Amino acid sequence: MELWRTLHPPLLRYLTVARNDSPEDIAAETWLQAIRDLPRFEGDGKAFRAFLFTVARNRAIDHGRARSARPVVLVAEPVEESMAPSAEEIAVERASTQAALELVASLPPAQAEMVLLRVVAGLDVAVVAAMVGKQPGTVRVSVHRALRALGRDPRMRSSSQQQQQVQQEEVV
Amino acid sequence: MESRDDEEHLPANPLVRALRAPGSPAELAREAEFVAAFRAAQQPQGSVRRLAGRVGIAATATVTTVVLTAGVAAAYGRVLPQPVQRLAHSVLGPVGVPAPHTRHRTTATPPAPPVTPPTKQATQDASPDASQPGSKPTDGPGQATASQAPGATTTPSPSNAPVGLPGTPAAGTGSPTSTPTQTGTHVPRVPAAQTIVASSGEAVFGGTVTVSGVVSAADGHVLGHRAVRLQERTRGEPWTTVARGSTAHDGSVSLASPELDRTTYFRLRTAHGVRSAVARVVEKPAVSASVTENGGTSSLAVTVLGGQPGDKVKVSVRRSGKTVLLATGTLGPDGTTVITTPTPRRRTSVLVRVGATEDHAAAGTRVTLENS
Repeated sequence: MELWRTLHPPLLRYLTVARNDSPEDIAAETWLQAIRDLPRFEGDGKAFRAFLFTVARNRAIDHGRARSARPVVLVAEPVEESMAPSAEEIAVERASTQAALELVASLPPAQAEMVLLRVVAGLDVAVVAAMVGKQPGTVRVSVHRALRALGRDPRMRSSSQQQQQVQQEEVV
Repeated sequence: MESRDDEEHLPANPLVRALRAPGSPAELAREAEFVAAFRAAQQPQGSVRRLAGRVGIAATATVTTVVLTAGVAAAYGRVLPQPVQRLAHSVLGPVGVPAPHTRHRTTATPPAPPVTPPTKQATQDASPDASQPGSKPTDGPGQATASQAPGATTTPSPSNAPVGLPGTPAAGTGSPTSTPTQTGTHVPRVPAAQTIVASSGEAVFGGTVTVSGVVSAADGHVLGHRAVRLQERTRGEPWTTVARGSTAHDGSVSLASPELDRTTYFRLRTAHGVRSAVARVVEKPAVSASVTENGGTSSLAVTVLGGQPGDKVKVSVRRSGKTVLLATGTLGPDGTTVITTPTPRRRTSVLVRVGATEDHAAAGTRVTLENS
């Protein structure tokens, strides 16, 4: 379960922003495909992470094609009010993550995907470059510029200030 | 996970920290389902493909949990392929997944077809006692579940089970296979997948839909005579059970929804807690309007059945190919509003329309304005 706990959140974040179409379904399909293909996989945790996100990307592309080919009635399950944050810090962190994802979503799709794969998925530049079909230098510069620009966004700063306030209050 | 040189290219700003924040409770909300499903089924990977095709994308989440169940359960039994077992051990070692057997080569091997017949020996292999170093490992993928006789599934022996995992049967979560069994004991099939489809994606106010689905086991067999609940939720409301039934011989079940008064989400749920995907049925309001003309002013009394208080109602007319807005109103608590607009000099057909919201689709009606 540690594997799932570690990789499922970034997987959902990637699919939510980069492939904004039933991320839960696609994430589930990704795990299904990953487990199915595990016998052919060999490598360490880093390689598995790249493997998982490659599967996710391919499944998302397939899903998009299938969805455009036939309309479906099924929709993503609405967010359940299951586990409310137990502390203000958690609430602020969630809000901050959500704000960050929204900021990334405001980028051009190709750049947003590079940021997500690089930062959220934690993949190396070379791996991201291979996945999106760009030169490593292009990926590095594109991600760097995007993070610089988004980091100066007022919404991100306000979230960061909220976090700092919470931390200060806890110290006091 | 990354080289230091690579990592240094990422600025340490709040955005990066936020994007890399640990998983939120919402993101990890389905963990319990995964854990519970760990014991729900063990199955050959080949049947997963068949099952996935049968239940479709809608039930993939459930299918995934089943697959993970099979994978992890197999890992506990040291029956995964070596690379997989090694990965599982590195990740799940703390909860008892054994390392791969050392006498095998560590290179990846292509999937081998299941070759082990369902024998007692194979059954024992699928659930070896981790304390026995002589436990016989299997030779390749597919054998992890070769011990499963048709019509039955097996559960890991208690000695191999992860102890203290939240949501496991040992923790009392009511998992379908929560009853401990002896190694190799056959247990009845339990529901593992539930499909769903609504008879329509849209229903008029007060209308109903029929929600259908098929319940199947982890090995793809449909399950008859299984209790199924139809649950619904609307925006901001929790899931509630609105109908109950049981599956037919072919595993299918059809349940009628209550009358819809707003857009509603439906799902089917078995007694074992297996849930289908969610089907949304959009409610289409019924709009009616009557006109009273008085001294050059027309009053439109608008009633929107299925509308919500605060919904905007617009009166518009087409002129020169364009839609011109004449007047707007807001629905009151009783679902009505009165909108006044100057009466056109000529007899004019206008559109009275309520826009789409999260609670309903757009709907409208036409009335004619003319001087009396």
